[in-house]
Amino acid sequence: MKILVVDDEKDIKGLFEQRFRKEIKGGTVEFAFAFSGEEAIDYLDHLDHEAVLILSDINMPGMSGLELLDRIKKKYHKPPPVVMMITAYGDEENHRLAKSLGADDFLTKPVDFSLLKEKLKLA
Amino acid sequence: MCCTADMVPGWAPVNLFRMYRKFVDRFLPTGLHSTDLRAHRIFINVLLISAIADLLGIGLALQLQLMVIAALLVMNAGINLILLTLYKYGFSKTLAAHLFLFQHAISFMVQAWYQGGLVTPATAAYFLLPAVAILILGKRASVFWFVGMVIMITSYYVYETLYGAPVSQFPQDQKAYLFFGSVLGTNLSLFILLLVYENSKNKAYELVEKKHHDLLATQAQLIQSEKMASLGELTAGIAHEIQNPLNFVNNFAEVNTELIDELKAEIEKGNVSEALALTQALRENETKIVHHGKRADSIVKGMLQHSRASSGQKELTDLNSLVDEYQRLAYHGLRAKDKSFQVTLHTAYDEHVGKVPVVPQDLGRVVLNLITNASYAVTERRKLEKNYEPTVWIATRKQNDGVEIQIRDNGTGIPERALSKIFQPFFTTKPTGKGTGLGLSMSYDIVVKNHGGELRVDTEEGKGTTFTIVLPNH
Repeated sequence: MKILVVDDEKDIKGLFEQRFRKEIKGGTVEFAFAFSGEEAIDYLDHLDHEAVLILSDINMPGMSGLELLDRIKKKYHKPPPVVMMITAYGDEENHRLAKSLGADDFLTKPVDFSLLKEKLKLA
Repeated sequence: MCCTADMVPGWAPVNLFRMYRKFVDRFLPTGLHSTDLRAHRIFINVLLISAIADLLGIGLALQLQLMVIAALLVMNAGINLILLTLYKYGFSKTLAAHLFLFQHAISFMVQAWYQGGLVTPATAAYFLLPAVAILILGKRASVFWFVGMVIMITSYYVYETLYGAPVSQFPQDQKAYLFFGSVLGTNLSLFILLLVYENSKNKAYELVEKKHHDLLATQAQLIQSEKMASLGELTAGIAHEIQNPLNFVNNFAEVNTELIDELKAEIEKGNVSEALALTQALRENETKIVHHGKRADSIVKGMLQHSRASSGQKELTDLNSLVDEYQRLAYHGLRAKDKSFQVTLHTAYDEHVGKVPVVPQDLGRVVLNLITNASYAVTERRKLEKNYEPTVWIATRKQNDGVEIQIRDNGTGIPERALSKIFQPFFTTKPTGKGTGLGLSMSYDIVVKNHGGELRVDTEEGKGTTFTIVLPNH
């Protein structure tokens, strides 16, 4: 499974690579990283219709995670990519908005990786 | 006092006083505001007391068998009561007051004639006309009646130099008694007038003092709410801002726990190169944990600094990191508040700025405020224009004898008519409830009064605004 992680925090790459080091070694998941909404769109545009799961933060400078979600859900119809949003804890407003824009699932920061792994198994 | 009256209901003078007050209120016209009742009550009192005095005078006149004077006084009292009744049913107060003064002017002249002209106590009573006029009508009416009084006295003087003084109509053996009564009456009236003046002056002072006190309290409350509003923006920003470093601290720490288990396994297997690679990874992760831990720490410190009442103490502060910290907080705060908020922030910090003596919380508040304003201006313009890139530039610069913080936006700009007022307290162009109008005035005070700096504004309507803070370096 290919997962695109979108977050403006650069250290997120190291974190995911270490957290999923066994899975990466085993070849069950493959990660790509984008550090802004624009980069994520760019990545998706150059990708042939490969099944991909997108994991995006909401608060980012420039294009926000919500805008990215909106664009993805409107533009890429087949196959519809699964988009999980990372919301700030207790941010009901963003949660509600993301849901109405078609987000498939939610995670809160700090990210609980065992929970994320469970979710990925089901996805 | 109301309370004293309630406490001794049986005491006759108090009851009488209460009855009198009730009687006064009977003449109040309907539909008055409770705030301006006082002036109306004074007017009614003047007319009533004057009528009562007239009635008392009638007794004296009858005793001396001065039927003309008695008739005059009956007429005076009667006209007073008629005026009061008319007034109650909507007759103009000004007109009623002038009529009241006019009929007394005539009465005084007639009485002076009967007493023996200019050199009698009746002429002294003339002074009551402008004095009462100033009480019930005001300054201009008083001047009018002063002139009237001068004319009346002068005409008596002219008459007497031409034809001699009129012959006193009083029985001469009663003269002392009569003059005593007249002088006493006039003086008593003047004394009462003075008391009323003093009383209203004190009441006015009390009212002004109370209003002033209320105003100060409201102002303090507004300043507090302005601080709380910006704090609210901050907390939203901080809550989000702190989750990023925490995410790393928690997760890298957990990863390290796993790595230690792996390391142990590799050592037990005797696999040295694998073990060394793992220690390297552990070390890198530790560095990240420390880095993000410190980041969280500085965010919390920033928040505490802001919420704490300003110490007012200047500290040598790294200006670039202060500006950057508040810039981030402002951005995340605004973003958290308004989901559609979008602005590109450009920062350019001059390394030579270094440490500057400032009150960090206060200056931080100014930066926060200016960025919030800039963001508001670009958001407003975004509503009006398509293909518009909302942008805010934040820069610091080292100058010859100071430092400069510049916050520039490409927003709506400030209209000419508002420009002269932007630093005035409570001036705001934002819709009601959106701004207290204190942000820039507080910023101005902080920069200019507390830091001895300058706060400059440069704006062009439809193009954008630049605020420049200049701080002395010593």
